[in-house]
Amino acid sequence: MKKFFAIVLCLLMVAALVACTGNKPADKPAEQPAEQPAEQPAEGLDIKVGFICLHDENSTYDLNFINAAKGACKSLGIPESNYIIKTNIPEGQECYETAADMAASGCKIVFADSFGHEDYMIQAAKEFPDVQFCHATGTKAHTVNLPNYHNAFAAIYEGRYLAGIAAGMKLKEMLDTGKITADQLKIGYVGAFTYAEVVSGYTSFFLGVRSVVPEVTMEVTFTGSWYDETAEKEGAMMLINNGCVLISQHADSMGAPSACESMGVPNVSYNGSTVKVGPNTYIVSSRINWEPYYEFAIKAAANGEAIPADWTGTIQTGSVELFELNDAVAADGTQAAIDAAKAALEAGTLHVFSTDAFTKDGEKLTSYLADVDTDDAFTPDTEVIKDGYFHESEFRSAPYFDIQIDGITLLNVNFGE
Amino acid sequence: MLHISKRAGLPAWKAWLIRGAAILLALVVCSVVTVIVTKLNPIVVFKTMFDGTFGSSRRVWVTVYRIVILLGISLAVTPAFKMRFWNIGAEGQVLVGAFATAICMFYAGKMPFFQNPNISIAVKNLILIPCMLIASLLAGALWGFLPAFFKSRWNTNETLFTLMMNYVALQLVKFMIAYRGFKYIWSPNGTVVGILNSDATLGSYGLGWLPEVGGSRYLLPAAVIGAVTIFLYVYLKYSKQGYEIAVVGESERTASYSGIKVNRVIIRTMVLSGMLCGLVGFLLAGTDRTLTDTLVDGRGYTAVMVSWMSKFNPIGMIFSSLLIVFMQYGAKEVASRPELGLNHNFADILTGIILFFIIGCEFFINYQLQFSRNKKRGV
Repeated sequence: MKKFFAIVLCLLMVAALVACTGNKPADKPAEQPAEQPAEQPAEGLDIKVGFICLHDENSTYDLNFINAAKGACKSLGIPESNYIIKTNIPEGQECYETAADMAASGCKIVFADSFGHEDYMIQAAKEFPDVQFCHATGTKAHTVNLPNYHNAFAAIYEGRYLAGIAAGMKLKEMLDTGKITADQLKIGYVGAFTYAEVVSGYTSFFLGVRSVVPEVTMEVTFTGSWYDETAEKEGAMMLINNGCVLISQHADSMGAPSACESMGVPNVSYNGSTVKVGPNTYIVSSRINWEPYYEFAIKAAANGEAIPADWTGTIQTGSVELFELNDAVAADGTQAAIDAAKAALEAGTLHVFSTDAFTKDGEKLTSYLADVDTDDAFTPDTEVIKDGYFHESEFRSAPYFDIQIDGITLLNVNFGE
Repeated sequence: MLHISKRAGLPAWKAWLIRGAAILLALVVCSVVTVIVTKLNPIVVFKTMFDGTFGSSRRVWVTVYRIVILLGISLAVTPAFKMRFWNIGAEGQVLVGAFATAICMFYAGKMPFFQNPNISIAVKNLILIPCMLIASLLAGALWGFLPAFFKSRWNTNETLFTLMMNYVALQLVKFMIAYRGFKYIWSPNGTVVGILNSDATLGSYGLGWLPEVGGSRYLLPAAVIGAVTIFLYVYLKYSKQGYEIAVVGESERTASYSGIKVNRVIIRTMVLSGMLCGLVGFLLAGTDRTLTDTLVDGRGYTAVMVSWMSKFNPIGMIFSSLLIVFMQYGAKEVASRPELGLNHNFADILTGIILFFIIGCEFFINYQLQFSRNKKRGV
């Protein structure tokens, strides 16, 4: 019994010790508030912001959002104690609970980053009419009629097109140096799902490549997941074994870039530079920079200004970006070719989806009804071909180009898990 | 030198003192790790965890709801475990329960009777909600019955069987909500169902949504699971069937010798387990008003741990569920604060430390260490 009390006594002493050591650092927060207000009133916005992410920083897709969130808050002077980033929020009820909790705890604007979050964001938006809810990649804001619910995307097809030019230049170099012959001009693409977002992406990439090398064809395979390293690696390997001499991808893991590096096949990446994984194969990467939108929307919410139901970032707003060109791999003159195309895109003289640039079943398209307003049956509802080009991301921010054009072969399709 | 022996029996207050000491010690280790690894004040980290789970009345309600759901599943698996039937199929049983509920809600929303605006929503729900309940109980019962039936008939391995049934349930749900063929009638976007019956045409309060009692939709599930807790406590401790479960768990041979029909008890108990899981699924889908493949989110497996940690005692499970939910969602809160600069993984480390101590302390409750005084003879 004595021994027992001795143990209890020891534990109590340890606890007391911790309570003391715990108190010492506790003095610090008392000092900190004295420092912080000194920074804040300079020009910092007085607003609380919430960010909801599907995964955490291990996914390139979410990392892109997290970095943008931190960057936007920093440049707006919002202190770290005034924003919250909740990661690993699945596309379900938890998204509603998180968004509602953020609104209830004082956030004036809440962002979510994944397509499947949309319905749950709308649910929260209905409950908190005074709080702005912004959802990236969604499609329903222009039909749901809620003044505090908004969608955003970027004209990333322009970025993909520019990345495609870099890939085309590389192919041309490989042709010129005799590394490949003209009948080997086939490239591959690893996509996640057969959604319009992915279709729009690989088609614009392909058109960029074809603007340099007109004879090229492309094969596409879908993994059925936004993040599946094994499936993406296997998909890239299969394409390489099929004879594809250059690979690009629209999925979030390092699967395809690492497959390309091990096989020595050039790779064009997405959402972030993968030069670390593929120093000898990575050419360039396009990405959406969410910072301009975050800054714009947070500022608008703080000043009580309206945020449009659909916001489409462009090259001009700084939302569509190309990541560092890897000079070790890219062909000579790539940068100049990209700059020229970029200037033409900005000037409006070049359109990625010009009807002169592609055919469907051998025919040039003069009219196309796209499914812009989301409904159960995917009813095409809006004429999107005007003035000789397909107007992508104009009638709503999220992509709706879903035409299977000639020159691209789909090896499989995948619309859901 | 060191001698381990089983304790004859420890008075309850001493056992609780040891558990309390274990938690205290776990917090100490957590604090030390926090200071060494992150140089942050551990009190701030713990305070953030507390704030994230109990910081406002809204958070308290959501936390209660999460505790109640985890508790409900833990209760559901308990009869089977007490019988030493290794049922790890709660994940699937809850999911099919939720699935059955969601199917009822979805198809009712398409029926002319339920679309008729002249009938009040109260009447419609009075008809629909019992249907949802019965459907989910039946679905859960079926998922519990199958492994038990095969076990009693052909002595199949119940661990593998129940595990496989989880995948069947998961793929069934994925198939229904995501597969292209069902897209037109079920999920317009391919991957999400959205909020069921949230159409304005069906009335402002949705069809089949569980009623909000006392201004919160989380009170009803709490009350139901509270009743289940009491029921199960009485059932296991005082009923004849509960006794039979305990006897079968101790030894099947003793059970059959004393005239208990072992196979019948196994099937009956698994059907009960499955039905309780189905009930939780009903509460989940009816309260969340949606169906996703992440609805149960691994809680069917966490519940196994809760049940064992509490030694199959329903009252103990309340505290274990509270602890697990507190740590899990407290950890999420810690990860969400940029000023702390921590990610999810660090909070998980803390959770791991605390669980280690809590599970580890059971050793000291069941066994005692004796240091022999005469070292020379010992060697």
